[in-house]
Amino acid sequence: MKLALPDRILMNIEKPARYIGQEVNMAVKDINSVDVRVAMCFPDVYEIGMSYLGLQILYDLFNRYEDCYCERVFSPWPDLDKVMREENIKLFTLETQTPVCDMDWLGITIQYEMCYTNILQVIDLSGIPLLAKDRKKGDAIVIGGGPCTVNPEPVADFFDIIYVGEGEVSYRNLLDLYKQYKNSDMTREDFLHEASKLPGIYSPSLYDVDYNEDGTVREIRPLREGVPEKIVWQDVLDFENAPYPMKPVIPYLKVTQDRVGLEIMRGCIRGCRFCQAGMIYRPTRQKNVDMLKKYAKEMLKNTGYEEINLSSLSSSDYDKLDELLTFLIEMRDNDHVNVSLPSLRVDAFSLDVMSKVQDIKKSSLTFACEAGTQRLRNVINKGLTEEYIMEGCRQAFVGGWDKVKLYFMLGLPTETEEDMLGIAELSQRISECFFDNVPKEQRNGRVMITASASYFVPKPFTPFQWASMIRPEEFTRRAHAVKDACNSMRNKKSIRFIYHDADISILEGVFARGDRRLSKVILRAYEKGAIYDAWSEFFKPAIYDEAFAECGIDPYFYTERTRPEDEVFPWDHIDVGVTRSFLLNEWRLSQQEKVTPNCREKCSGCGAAKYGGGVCYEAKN
Amino acid sequence: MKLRIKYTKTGPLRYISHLDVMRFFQKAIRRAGFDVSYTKGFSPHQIISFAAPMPLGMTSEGEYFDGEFNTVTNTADMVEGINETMPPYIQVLDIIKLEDKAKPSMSIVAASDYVVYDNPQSEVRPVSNLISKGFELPDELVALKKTKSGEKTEDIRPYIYGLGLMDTTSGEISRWILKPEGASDRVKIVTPLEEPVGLYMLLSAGSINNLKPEAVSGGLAKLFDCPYSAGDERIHRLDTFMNSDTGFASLDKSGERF
Repeated sequence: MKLALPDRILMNIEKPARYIGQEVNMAVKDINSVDVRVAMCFPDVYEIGMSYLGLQILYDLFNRYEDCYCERVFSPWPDLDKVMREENIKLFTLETQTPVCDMDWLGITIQYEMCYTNILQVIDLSGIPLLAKDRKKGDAIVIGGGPCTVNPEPVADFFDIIYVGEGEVSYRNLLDLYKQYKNSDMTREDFLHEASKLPGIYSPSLYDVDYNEDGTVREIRPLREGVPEKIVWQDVLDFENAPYPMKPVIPYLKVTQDRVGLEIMRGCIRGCRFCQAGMIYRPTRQKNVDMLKKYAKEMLKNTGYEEINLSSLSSSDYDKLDELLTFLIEMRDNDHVNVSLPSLRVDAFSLDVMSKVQDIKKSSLTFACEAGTQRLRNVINKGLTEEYIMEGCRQAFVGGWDKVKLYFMLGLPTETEEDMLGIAELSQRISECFFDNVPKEQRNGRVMITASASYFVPKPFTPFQWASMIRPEEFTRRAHAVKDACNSMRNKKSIRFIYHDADISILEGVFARGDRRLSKVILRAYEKGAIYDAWSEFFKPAIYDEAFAECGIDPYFYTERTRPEDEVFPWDHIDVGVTRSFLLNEWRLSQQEKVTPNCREKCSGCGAAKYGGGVCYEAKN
Repeated sequence: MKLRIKYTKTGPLRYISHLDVMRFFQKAIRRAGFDVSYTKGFSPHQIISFAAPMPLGMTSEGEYFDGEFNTVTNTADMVEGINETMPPYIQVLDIIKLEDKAKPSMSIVAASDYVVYDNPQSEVRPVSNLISKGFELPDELVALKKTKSGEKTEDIRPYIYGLGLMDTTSGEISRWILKPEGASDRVKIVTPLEEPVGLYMLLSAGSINNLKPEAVSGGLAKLFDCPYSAGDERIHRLDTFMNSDTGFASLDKSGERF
């Protein structure tokens, strides 16, 4: 295997193992025997990208097709980025170390807004024109996928195709169409036109956006005949039998998720009003527990990992969780397999499980409270009561735990000073619960409550898509108010309060609900040197201040306005199943502080039933 | 039951760190289904330990680690079993059974031998230059040595046990500059290298006087006025040795196949 980078470069950069591939379970194919070569990219560093389950699922899916060879590519770390630019070295795939520009497709998963400049980094270092309109037949087709595609508008100019939905559904059809295009005189425009007729395939160049004088969107319309007005998010219906990678690629480097990842469920029944994943992955679908046991065994055997992680949005809602965990714990006792637990509802069973797999003295309990008062938890439809939190803590403290982590958001709609102080007061009550229930002689030092606050970012396709996002200065003020409140509590020595960086979140807020005009800003910021914006050590807010100013765009236009109920959104041509009328009703209910029952308690008619599967039909089976 | 496992690390995997290799074998052992022993306690881990750490960039066909196993089959079966689960660039060459009281490999390493050859990617060819100058080994060879308190110069000559010109395909030593006592004129090599000739070196290794091959080639290049930087050469380790009654013996001679 000849590496793309010479020794003198590999010996002088951090972690050269990021760039050599050749891992166990890597796909190996004869490049002359395939029709379509795909570079699949996670636009962040190797250790982050290789931790992402979705990449392993799609990599496996593509490589099951005999006519296709899918290889991986990640963002070069800034040290190598610099060298590649200086020496004009093109970005390459890991498997065969081939330049990405020689591939048929460059597929990029878009997992979070702050990777947008890394998308440009990857396209640019690959030697592919940055703007879709400048690409010709023979240039790689640049395809975007992943959760951010529910509002792909800020990056619309960079992609030929956006795949809207879960990857398992439509790629086979797109591959077949591509083969037709490649082997004929079909033009790139005609290929995109034909592709746009496939379910879930959105080709931004085939749509035009008109704006009102106030800057809001007036209309988004297809430019050519046969191009659908709405692009429908694709959901895997036969989730139980969907292909799953039994032999995931095993990195040499220690990556963030260095264990077997087992997806047990997709979607969430809860309906928290701030949560985008909880809306776009509806309806909730589960895997069969016997199948999961078989998968777990086989994947552990094929990888040699000593740890397995259950993946889902809310594992406690998996109906056979007890059975699955009991099975995994038996495996732990016999085969030295550790179970890394997802956040579970805290009750007698989960505490028993946790005491078996974690060192109680070192581990902590986690509650995603999200808000400090019951009133605000009702606003956001977080079905977590103080009674439940206190009872969970009491049981845990009696069981020997003495560390609790609490997650909150600041800047939620309708938030008052009382809600902020509520964070400190709840922490205080939990510390009291410890002192009331654990006798002095059993205490091992003091209880430690860590409350952390993130900055609420309203997302498309959530009931809060109409909501205002507070300014960074206001977030910081509120965070200080909570901190002061924590310091004024009687048990302040047991309470620690930490909060996130505000600059990155506000930009995330701009991109999340942004429109196509932001492509210019992202391009400008990239030209000024912005990459790895999700990494606080590389993020330079000043670059964005300049880029917004030079493009004549006010970022707060996208974050600060409470949008009128009838405003046309930049993402209105995307249909994720959950209807706008359901979301609007939820928005109104939130202002009335009314909660909505979860999918299993009562169907609220969100619209996801149209997919014809999952939790919507559970009772009927 | 204590086993000693000899393995290679070649090609692109020269960029995998020692720590990553350790984690790699923990998983490979499980993939192969070996009945490795675990420590007791809350977070049990495999009882394995590695001989000498290998610097990034070096290739090798003489690396070792020791492991304790509850049950074993036989050498051939285990070598084949684990190799099936590993890439071609990291392969097990041999597995031998140790006596129960055998010392861990890392504590008995006394020497290693290497081939140092010109990096085919580099225009500067320090090894060929040295050879063309018909160099000899001086009585004293001074090299810079990095210590905790800075750099100091040291005579490394006493730690050089063997030096010669080697044909990298056949392993034949065409000219000895310093012939180790009882050495054969042909050294075993199984890995194809990208250059036909190289410098063979047998050097002190281990925790006490670990001499790096680049200190020797760098020192010689300086003495004989050849342009040199570490990136202009590549280093391939051939084997790792311990002291025995008859001089150095390969670590794979510390037990028997089974």
